Amino acid sequence: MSPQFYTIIRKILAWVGMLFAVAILQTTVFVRIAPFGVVPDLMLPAVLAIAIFDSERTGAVAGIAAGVMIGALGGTGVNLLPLFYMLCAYLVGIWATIGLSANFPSFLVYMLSSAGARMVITLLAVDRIYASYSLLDVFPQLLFPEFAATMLCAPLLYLPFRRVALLFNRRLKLPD
Amino acid sequence: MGRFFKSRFFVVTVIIALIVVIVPSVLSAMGLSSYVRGALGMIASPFQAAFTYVTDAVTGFGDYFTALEELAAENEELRQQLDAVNDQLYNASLLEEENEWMRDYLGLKRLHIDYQFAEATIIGREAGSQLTVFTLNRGSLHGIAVNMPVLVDDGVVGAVVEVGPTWCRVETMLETASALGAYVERSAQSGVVSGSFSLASEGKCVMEYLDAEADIRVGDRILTSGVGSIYPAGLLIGEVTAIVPDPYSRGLKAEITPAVDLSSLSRVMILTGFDTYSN
Repeated sequence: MSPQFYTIIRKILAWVGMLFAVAILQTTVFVRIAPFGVVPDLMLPAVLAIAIFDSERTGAVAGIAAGVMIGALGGTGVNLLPLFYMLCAYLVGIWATIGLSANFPSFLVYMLSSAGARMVITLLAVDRIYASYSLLDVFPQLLFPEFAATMLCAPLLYLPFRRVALLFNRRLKLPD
Repeated sequence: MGRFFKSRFFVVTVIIALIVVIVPSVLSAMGLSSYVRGALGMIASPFQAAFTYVTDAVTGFGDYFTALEELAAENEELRQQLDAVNDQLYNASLLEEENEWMRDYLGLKRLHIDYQFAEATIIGREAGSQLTVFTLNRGSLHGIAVNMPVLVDDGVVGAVVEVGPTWCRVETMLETASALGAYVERSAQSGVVSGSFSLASEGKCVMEYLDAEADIRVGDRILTSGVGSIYPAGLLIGEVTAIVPDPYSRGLKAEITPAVDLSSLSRVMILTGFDTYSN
């Protein structure tokens, strides 16, 4: 086994541990805090951070793992989040490679676009759960607060994930 | 850019993601739970329990202060409500008092249709404990003149002795200078009721000019006789509480306790006009 292999294993364990901790936080602490009356999506900034600090591939895998975790710990029924997180992380990882960098302002830009897309996933969930609803109610009561809460909490994850990423070779890709 | 989405990694990852989305959904629709979901839930549950415990403790601590703030706000709100209710009660008591006053006024008016009244409020009292002089909020501008009788439903209070434009002074029966013709209701025994310095402190006055054989007893009601033309006849002055010999006239003197409680008066009626033959 090469040293690089062990580094990758340690990195996977670190990211999985981080994601697990974030999932626990989201389903316990932030359920009680509930800024703006909703639970923020902490997994989204977590997978985006992994994608920009590591790579789009690591982010994509982390996205699937994050979706499975949050679905297992706090979700029911159809869970589109693994696919959503995976696509977001992959796209943002590419964006960080060929476009913006991995600094904090760029992270906020990634978050803005991803949290905006996240509203679609929430809207689909609402559509699945409720037989009838009004968009005029859903937007101000759920989608906008969730967007705002996620954006508010996302910066909290930036530094911890950056710190963990610096422990490993930054932008170390998983083997093809 | 296109290479990113044509790479084998991306395609495989998307397929895995779709499987991860679809399989649990199908299992869930069938009422089953995936092993992955169950295993993750089992691993996470102790952590979730611990975090929930800590969060509950922290938020409970915060809730304690939030509850204190809420209680303080509620307390303030209740205090304001209490103040409002107290104000309402006070206004209600004023209205009740006024209502009772108007009823008394109407009672007197019904009993003596020739009486013309001016309602007045006591705005000043003589300093000291003896209730002999009041100042009322009615004066010459209101048609008040000297020697007008002042009474309430219970009986005679006194008479106006001084008048200003917007005020007047009333000497009660307890004032030593006052004197009004009176008679015993039961026996028609006549006399003069006036103030007595020694009895004024007890809130009493005295009936004089009673001969030694006068038919008067303790408990007799004393009414105005109309003599002197200040007071109309038949108004209640008070009740005999004691009869003592008068060493100067060699007759009798009767101590009278006025029917009106002068200490609790706040509003009176000034009798501005009446027929002298009224009884």
